[in-house]
This record gives sequence, C-alpha cells and structure tokens, in this order.
Amino acid sequence: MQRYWAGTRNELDKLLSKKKYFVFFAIEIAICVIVILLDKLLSRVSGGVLTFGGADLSLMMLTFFIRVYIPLIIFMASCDVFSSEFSDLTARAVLIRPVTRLKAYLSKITAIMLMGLVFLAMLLITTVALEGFSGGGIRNFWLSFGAYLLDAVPLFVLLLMAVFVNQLTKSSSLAMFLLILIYALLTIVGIFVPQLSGLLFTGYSQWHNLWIGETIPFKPMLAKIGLLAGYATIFMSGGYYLFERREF
Amino acid sequence: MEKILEVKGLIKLYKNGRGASDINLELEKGDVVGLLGPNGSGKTTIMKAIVGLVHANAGSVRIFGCDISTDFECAMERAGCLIEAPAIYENMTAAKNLKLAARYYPNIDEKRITDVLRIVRLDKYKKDKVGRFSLGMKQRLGLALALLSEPELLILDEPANGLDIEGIVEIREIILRLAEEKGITFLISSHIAVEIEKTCNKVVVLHEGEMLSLDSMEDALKRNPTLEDYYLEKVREKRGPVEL
Repeated sequence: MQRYWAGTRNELDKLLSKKKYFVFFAIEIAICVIVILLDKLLSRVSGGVLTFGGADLSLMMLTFFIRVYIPLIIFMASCDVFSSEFSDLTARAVLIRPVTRLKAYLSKITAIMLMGLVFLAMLLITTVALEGFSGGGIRNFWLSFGAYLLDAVPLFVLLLMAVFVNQLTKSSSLAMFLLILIYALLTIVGIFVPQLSGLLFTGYSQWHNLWIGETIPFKPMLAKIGLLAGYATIFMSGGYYLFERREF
Repeated sequence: MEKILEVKGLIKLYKNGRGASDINLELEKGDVVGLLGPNGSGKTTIMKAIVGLVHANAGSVRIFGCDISTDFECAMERAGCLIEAPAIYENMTAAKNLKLAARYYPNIDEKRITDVLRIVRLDKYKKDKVGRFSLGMKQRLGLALALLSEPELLILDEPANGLDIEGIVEIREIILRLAEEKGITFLISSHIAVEIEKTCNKVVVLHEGEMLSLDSMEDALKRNPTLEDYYLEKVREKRGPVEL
C-alpha cells in the first residue's frame, strides 16, 4: 500500500507541476463570478423576474461543469499521466521502481480522480461562497454537497474510459482528440436517440438528478447502478490489460 | 557465492525479427559484467527484459532469487537501473526528480538525495530545472536516480552515452569505486570495447541478438592483445571464414 500511495502522491505532484491546471482553476472561479454577476444584473434589470439559476447557483453551475469543463480536465490529466508519458518515455521512471504495474496503474487513476474531485470541491466552495456574499445566503449546502458527491460516480466511469482510450495510442494529442470525439458523439447520440441515452454512461453525467428531487423506484435505479458498474469494470480491466502488456 | 542475477533461456524477439535469443547469464556478488556488441546486437533488449520493461517470449529472470514476472517488487527492491535515455521529468528540478523516486523506498531522506547528487557532481544544480541540463548532465542525473536506493545490483545501459571524455572517466571511476568499496554488482552495456575493458571483470559478446561468449576479462585478454581483438575473434568464429 505504501508504494501505491507514493505513486499517487507522485502522479499528483506531476500534474500540479503543470501550470495549466492552476489556470483552469482560475478560469473555473472566474466563470462562477461572471455568472453570478450576470445573474444579479439580469435580476435587477428585470425587477427580479428573470434569473439564470433560479434557486440554486451551485446546482446550476454543476450542470455545466460536470458536462463540459471537468470532463475536459479529466481527459487532459489522463493524457498527461498516460499517453504523454508513453511518448516521452517518462513512464519508465515509475516502472523501474519496486512497484507492480497494477499499483502504478491504480495510483495514476487515483491521482486523476483526486484532481477531478478537487475541481468539483473548488466549484462547490466557490458557488456556495458567492451565493453567501451576494446575499442569497447559504441554502441547501448539504443538498449541493450530496449532488456533487453523486456526480463524482459517473465522472469516475468517464475517467476510466479516458484511461482506456489512452492505452490505445502513444500520442497525447491523438488521445485528446479521440476522447473529445467519443464524448461528443456519445452525448449527441444520447440527445437525438433518447432510447439509447439510458444505455450510455455519458447520459448519467448528472447522476444526482436520479437521486435528488424526483426519486425513481429502487429496481430501475439498481439497473442503472449495474450499468455504470459494468462500464467501469470493462474500461478498468481493458485499460489495465493494455497497460500491463505495453512495452517501454 | 550469492547469485545476484540469473537469466535462463531468455528470448525476446520483436515483430521485425530482431531482439535477443537464448541468453543465459549468472552474476555473482561483486561482478562487473559488460555486454559488448554493436548497435542492434540486443544489449538494450536484454536489459529491458531483465527489469521488466519488455515481456520476454521465453525464459526466466531472477534478481536476488525473486522472479521478475511473479515477484517484481522483491526483484527490483535492491536493484537500480539506467536504460537508454534517463527517464526524467524535465519540468522539475534535479532534487524533485530524486524525491519522487525516493518515495518508493523506505528511509531515503534529503541527505541521501544530496549525497547522490554529490557523487555525480550535480549538487550545484540541485534546484535547477532538468530541462535546462545538457545531455551529459541528464545522463549523470540518470545515474543518480539509479544509485538513489543504494542498490546492490546496478544495470546500466550505455552509461557513458552523451558524456565528454572527462565525464566518461568520471562515470568509470564511480563504477569502479562502488564495485570495490560497496561490493555492488554491475551489468553494463556498451558498444565501445575500451570502455568495457577498462571497467568490467567479465565480458559477454553479443552479435545479432545472440550471445557468442561469456569470459572473464583476464581470460579474454590472455589470448588477445585487446578486447576489441577478442570481440572480432568471436564474431569471426561465428561467421566463419570470409572469402575475398
């Protein structure tokens, strides 16, 4: 376990040594500030009739960030941690240490997931704080917290898909292109063919909608959990198989 | 004598038919074994297969009695290596690169990091980003990374690669000193016969992926004035007489 955690720390260190992630943190916060300012402006101009998010800014922002922004961060981080290291051969730096490939693989996945969680946590803190500062008061914090936590589940499946795709190529730009293409296609198919949306993992990006508000019956819920678990298992085992067989 | 490394019937062939076949090696404590052969003779392939960077088609590798394919952590715990170009993160400092590697081992502290940087004469550049290093400095950092865990077996693929004359002599002196003072066992590859002759006490001749011989340096130089002549003798023996 010590080596797994050492690997996770190292992968996080490597990701955080890239300035672009701090820029993306800043952009995330800036988008939240701009949206709340526009919301206040719109509300003032319309005499309180029109607003962007209605009651909850943090849930409204989650809808955008969990569908577009954070998946892109996850794709980028997976390319940095896998395909980019395959092409410049820095992946060897880990593989010549006394750590199994399974531990190395899992520690990379953990680091990317932690990165995604940090972005989610930043979003929650920013939106809740902005709501508080703008006089809206901190409403339903625990509800938002629960929603963010629930949305981390399909995000993890998306991460495993990104890691799997990264095993197919040595080029990080090709991997990023493939990931965006696959994600866009799956999302579009989910919109235009509603019968399929329930079968695609991308249709569950707002997982919290199934739990919070209109709660669906237990049996269909179990089927959806099973579906996500199935996707996760396929991507995880397929990705690991390819990583284990890879030669450096 | 304790067996440090055992390679039995190792075969690794790439899709283009190149690689290494039927490699048998045994390294005992204190051995400094040189793999001598031209580019494409299989030196790097053998080293990669030993440390698990490529998967062998057949054969077995045991380091300190631990099988590389079934007990990797045990096998690599007391081994260090530098294969081809050093695997270093160019956007980080030399010290940070070593710190990341140190986390995989218990009891490697800041002092050890400073010590290995001093051994390879990079202590002045401890806080410099590796991206700004010359090829030789990167190679020395690669050696520092291999030495970090105080390994008992060091596998070095062309360690003098990219170094100037002074650097080559320095690396050689470091190897000889570590072998003598700390009893570290070395497996070193080079295509330069003089390098192997001056550094190693055993030599393996490789040609087109085949192991032509394994001799002590003393025996090799008994019949031949230089290691270069020994190498040519072995290659000619394999090829047979060449008609002009």
